[in-house]
Amino acid sequence: MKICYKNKFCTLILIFISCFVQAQPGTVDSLHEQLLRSESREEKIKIYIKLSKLVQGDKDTIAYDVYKNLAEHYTVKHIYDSVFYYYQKGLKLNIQDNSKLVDLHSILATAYYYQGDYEKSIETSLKAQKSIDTTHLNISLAKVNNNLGIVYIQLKKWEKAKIYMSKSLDICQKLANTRGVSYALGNLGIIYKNLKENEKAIEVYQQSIQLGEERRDYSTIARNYNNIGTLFEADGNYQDALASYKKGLDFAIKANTHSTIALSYSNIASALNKLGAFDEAKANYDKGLELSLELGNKNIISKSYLGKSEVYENTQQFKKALEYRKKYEEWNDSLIGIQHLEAISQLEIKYETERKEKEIATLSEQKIKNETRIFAQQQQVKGLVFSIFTVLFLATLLFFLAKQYNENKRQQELIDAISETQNAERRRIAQDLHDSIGGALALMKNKLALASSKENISKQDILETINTIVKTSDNIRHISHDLMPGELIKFGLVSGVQSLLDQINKEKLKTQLFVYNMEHRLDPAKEIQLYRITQEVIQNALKHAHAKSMTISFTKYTKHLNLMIEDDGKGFDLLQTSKPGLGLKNIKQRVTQLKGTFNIDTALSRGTTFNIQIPL
Amino acid sequence: MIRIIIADDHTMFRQGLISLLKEEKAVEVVGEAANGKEVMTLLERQSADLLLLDIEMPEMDGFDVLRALRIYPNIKVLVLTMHTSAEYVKNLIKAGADGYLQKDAEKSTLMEAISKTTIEGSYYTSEIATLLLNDLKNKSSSASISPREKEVIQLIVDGNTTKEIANKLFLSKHTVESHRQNILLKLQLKNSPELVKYAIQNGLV
Repeated sequence: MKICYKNKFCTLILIFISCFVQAQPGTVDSLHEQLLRSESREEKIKIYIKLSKLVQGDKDTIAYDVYKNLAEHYTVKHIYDSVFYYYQKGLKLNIQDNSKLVDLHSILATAYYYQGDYEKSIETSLKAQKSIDTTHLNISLAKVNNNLGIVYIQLKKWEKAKIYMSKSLDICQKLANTRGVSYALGNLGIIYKNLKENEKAIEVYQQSIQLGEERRDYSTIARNYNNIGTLFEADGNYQDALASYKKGLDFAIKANTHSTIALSYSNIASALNKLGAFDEAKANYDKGLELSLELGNKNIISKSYLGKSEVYENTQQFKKALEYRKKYEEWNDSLIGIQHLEAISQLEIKYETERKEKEIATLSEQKIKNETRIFAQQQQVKGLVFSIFTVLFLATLLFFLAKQYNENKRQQELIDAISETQNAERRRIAQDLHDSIGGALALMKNKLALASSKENISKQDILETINTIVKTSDNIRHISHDLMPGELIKFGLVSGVQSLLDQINKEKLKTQLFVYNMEHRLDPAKEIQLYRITQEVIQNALKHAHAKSMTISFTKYTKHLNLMIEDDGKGFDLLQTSKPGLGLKNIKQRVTQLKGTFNIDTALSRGTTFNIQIPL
Repeated sequence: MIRIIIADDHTMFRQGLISLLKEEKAVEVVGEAANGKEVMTLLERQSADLLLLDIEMPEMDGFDVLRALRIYPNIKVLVLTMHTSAEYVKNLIKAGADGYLQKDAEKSTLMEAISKTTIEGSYYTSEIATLLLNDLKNKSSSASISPREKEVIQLIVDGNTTKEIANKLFLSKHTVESHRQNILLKLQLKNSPELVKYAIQNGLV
């Protein structure tokens, strides 16, 4: 709790400071002028953010502009909660202009699409479609149809995707919007490819190539040849794939588009790998790598490393395969280099001293204030003291009695929770033992009894019994693992949690584990408690929240540990859940035992975040 | 001739293995041990090329032995165990095992493992290599900044206050503040202005 208040205090100060800072930037008009003058996107966003603080509630076009642009900005940045926030603000403006409404809906649809929530994306796109004036063609309609098409591509509903994408193509063609046409053609290629209408897909790609030739857009041609190549490759037609990729390379060189050249090399290598020409494949990956490393094109770099890893896997050189796989991982999502532990602990010490100094300063200031006030009041108070004393005494007595009562009640609740959890656990173990072990043993007993009464024991009977024994021993291992996971005890918290996550079906819940400064082990008792807390939160997310993905972070400071568990489930209303469920009670009890603090952030359909601090 | 020491606390398993290896001319069992301590005392007087090591043993277990064996760099270790989880295998290899084999492997596989571990210096079955590869594939990024933290960084760079970030991410201010502190710790920075500078310089946003 202590930490909690301190943080609130810091945040308060921060807010005050930022309020003063914010009071500086001028009026809406001057900012708007600045906006018109600024050229870089970043600058514009900064101004939009400043504006968003000023225009709140205004029903004018500037407000719409601000919210729309910020929503778009955060869609590109993949911060969807903020997109939703600005979308709602935009809606509240009560816009009359339909095309503006369509744009707003379209942004949200795109955000939902990126987020993987395809149902909602479709719903929003359809909402947008309704507001469109269909009497004459316009680009918004093409956009909406394109959005719907892409979502259906993701949902693998190819027929529907085809309908919407063709519509988008049709509109773009009529509007003579070549960019839109080539975009739609590219997407149609993907659709045809998956409808197994490879000929049509190739036709579409070739149309796009033709369009490219007309416009002398060699890099588009190169990309399309690469696309055609992937088509052949997926078909198992590696020779044709190779030929197509090579054409792609030629055009890419003609266009002098380095990234497409690198892509072509990497594709050529992939085809060669499939054809069994491993040495050539390696050479081409290296060419692609050299170029993409120069360009810093992460995509192709990581793809090439992955490819090289596969080549080595195919040639049974597993160590090298691993080595390149690791490189692939590094490039795939590398952000920060090696962590310097010493520097961190020095920083920590600095931070701690600074904090202590501040604390002391605040305390002494308070002390001086208190002393002056007490001195002034002392004279008045003297007379009253005696009479108040008696009242005070009684009040204190009552207060302590009440406190004692509450404390007892709380203790009792904790004990109840513990025994309730333990009982549930025991019931589950008993059930597991009865179901999987008891049944199997009975089965074996019957089989063997039957066999002993026979003259000739068949080999089949013996094999079946052995099979049952193997299964039973597996089951026992699972049950004992549940009771006390070996990875946790042997290798520590991170390994324990990782193997817990390994057991979860990825289809059901995607999990990511982030750890910082966790190379050394913690106190074993704390490790077990933290493991159980994590397990409980995961159970909760699976059973009640119907979450699709979850992130778990362990961040270790010198004197405490932060555990952050976030899911994207349906969340719950903390205020309405007057009696927390067993799981929640269990978590609370474990955190209390560790003398830690925790809070839960949740809102309906906006996921749940458990934020837990444990002193070490 | 490959000289082998067998360490396993189950006498039956040990003896089974010895009789199995007796048939082979290329190997010779020069010693056996029922726990890690016995392995270490045995090694003081008996040199060997390969240790067949069980993990679950009383006294010193397999992991303790792997750590203690660092003073004998010439002895290769082939671990024989029932454990199959990725975490186990990963930690075994980290602790210094040169090879890993499941206890229910066929004899021919065992012989291959013995010769590869001793002669080539390591033995991974394609299953293990795949397991390790998969582990890498499944593993979240080695860099420890989470997607949510990236969002918070972006919002800070955009000039939002803690309260505004909290509103936009549907979180409490307390949690946003925790995120901010975690980010500063991970990137070894002192305050938000430094974070903004760092994020822009390193292309985090």
